[in-house]
Amino acid sequence: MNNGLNLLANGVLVHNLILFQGLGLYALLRYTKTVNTAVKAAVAMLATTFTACIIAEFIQPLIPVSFAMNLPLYFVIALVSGLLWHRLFEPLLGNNADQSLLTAFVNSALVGLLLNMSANYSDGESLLGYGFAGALGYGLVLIVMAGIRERLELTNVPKAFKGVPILLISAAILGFALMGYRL
Amino acid sequence: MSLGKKFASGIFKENPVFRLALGLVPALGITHLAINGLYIGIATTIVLLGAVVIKSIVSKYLNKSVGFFIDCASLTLLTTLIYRLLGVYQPEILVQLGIYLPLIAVNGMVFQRLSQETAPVERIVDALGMGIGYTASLTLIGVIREFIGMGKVFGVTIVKGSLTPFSLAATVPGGFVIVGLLMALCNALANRGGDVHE
Repeated sequence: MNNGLNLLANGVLVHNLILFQGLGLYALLRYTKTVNTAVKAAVAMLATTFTACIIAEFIQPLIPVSFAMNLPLYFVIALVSGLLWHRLFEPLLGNNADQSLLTAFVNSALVGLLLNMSANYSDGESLLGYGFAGALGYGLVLIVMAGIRERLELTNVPKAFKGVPILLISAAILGFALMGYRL
Repeated sequence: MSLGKKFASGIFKENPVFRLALGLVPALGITHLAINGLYIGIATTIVLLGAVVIKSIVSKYLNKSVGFFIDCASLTLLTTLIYRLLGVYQPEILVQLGIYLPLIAVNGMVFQRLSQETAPVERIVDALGMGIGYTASLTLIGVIREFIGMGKVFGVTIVKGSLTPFSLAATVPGGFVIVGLLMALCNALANRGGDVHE
């Protein structure tokens, strides 16, 4: 129980994919225009990550490879799980095939999560737990940032800061606020 | 657009980090040291150039619908090669770069440049310009973060004595602030707003 909570806190807060590892930023910029889009992207990530973790759990014991060779293996796993969910989510996210495949499914957050898992966790339960927690933290940040961004649209932001700069600075403030959990 | 202008636009007018907001993962995750920014920028440039050359050769013989998978395969192959080479010649750097080196294979900037459909020579010049612009941006971010966060530049101590380094700059949220401010500065110089890249 305690171990499970640790794993959840690690994935959601302490090692949050976006705020503390800087992963999945393409999705942060692209899918946070409205809360609605952010929720869809978060669900897509959760589903893809969970599928990727299940595939990784089955494949890892069968193909013991060095860390250097993990990239091709995990890239294929991410691609397969992304393709599985791609057809379902594509109309919802409303993008052309390659872009949504890349940004919502096979993104740096998913591949980074798989590479992190292979380096730090070995047993099946931990793999699934960390994968779920990582995707949950990623989704939560997307939704919170979408909410902040909707509010920012109503404020008088200086021209040079409009768009990406103010979004990054807002994400930084959120990150600093959550940093207390890392101490 | 002439080849010279295309090359220069990747460095200034369409800088991948500060103007297009692409490939931000290593820009925030690993540039707390300037040397990391330089290495990851060079590695990304080599992978992008290699993938563009492979695509230019292969695209004549293959259907367009498999283009994305060809890109994925070439990027994975080239990134693994770079990983192996760094492992042999610069193992300390490889440890510092961690998972961010393999993540070149899913770099948004690389995919975006590969999706462009222009003549092969134009593509190669564009990739070279973008790669140099990307490397320069990452190195600049690294220099600023390392200086503010640790009082050093490329490992050489600059600030000594009572002035305490602001260590938050070396963290990822600190990187968000520095990159955000640099982007705003670029927008102010170009008299533009910083709309999100689509």
